[in-house]
Amino acid sequence: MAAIVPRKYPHPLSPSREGGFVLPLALGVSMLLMLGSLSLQTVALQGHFDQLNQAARSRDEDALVGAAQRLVAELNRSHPCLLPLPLSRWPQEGQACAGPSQQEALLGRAGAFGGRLIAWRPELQQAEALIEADPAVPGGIARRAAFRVALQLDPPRAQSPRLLGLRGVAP
Amino acid sequence: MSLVELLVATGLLLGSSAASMGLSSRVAATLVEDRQKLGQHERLEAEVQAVEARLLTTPQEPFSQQLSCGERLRMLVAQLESQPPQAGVLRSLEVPAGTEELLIRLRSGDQERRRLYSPAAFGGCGEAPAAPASGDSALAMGEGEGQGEGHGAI
Repeated sequence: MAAIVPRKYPHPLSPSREGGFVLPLALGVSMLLMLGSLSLQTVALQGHFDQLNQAARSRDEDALVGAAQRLVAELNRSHPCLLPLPLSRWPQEGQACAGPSQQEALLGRAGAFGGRLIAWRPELQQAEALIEADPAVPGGIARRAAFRVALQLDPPRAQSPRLLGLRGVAP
Repeated sequence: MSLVELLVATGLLLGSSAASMGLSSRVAATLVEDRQKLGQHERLEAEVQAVEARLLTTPQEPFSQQLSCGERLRMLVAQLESQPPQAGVLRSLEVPAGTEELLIRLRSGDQERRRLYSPAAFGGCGEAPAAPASGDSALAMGEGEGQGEGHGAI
């Protein structure tokens, strides 16, 4: 009498010897797809942020160019005796055409010309001005720009500030 | 290979493909938009350079004469108006009320650049502090020529 041997059926979710490669393969392909898409998204976002930074930089550049124009106009109009003097000598030797309050207005934060004069370095026929503007957005980066200004000493007169460069200033 | 395994793998592939395609389409849209904005930015930058070059090459001889700031402002405006802006750039010239300054607005798409120039910074004008009469003349010009700004619209 033959013994009854129970037949073994494979469990539906258990890996069979001849199968079982489809699920890992699908998992791998899915992971690759998602990783590829996410890296593309990261690259696109990076480009987007670069563009936002570029726009902010352009806005700051425009503001600083306007500030330089106002500063040079104000110096030409009302304080020409300051033009041949470096900034450090303004308080002593610039009193002839600019009192302390007027100098404060030129140097002060968000002053009369929309920026803050950090340095004024006159040479023979030109001067270099360093101007800082407050950040366009609260908590943003303040930017500082250098300008070259054509200078005439007799009579003192400044002309045509040209932007040399722009950089951010750490808060 | 069981049927359940096949179904799960198919669902996984379909889901990840759909998500990947969604992300990719968003990336493509972002890239197209960024490309457009980059083009606008470059056009505006080129126009800013052109405007500045034009202002800086304004003849200097008259500036060394005794011209009022209002007259020099008119010369700057005339200098700019003689050259239309580049294609795709909208340019407008304004004289803010009560000032002797020239505000140039450049617009391309949804991007804008604003440059402010003062005639007194181009060699000086009006040795004395601005008199009310000169301020009035600048304002009058702003209401006339300055705001008839449609020039340059492409």
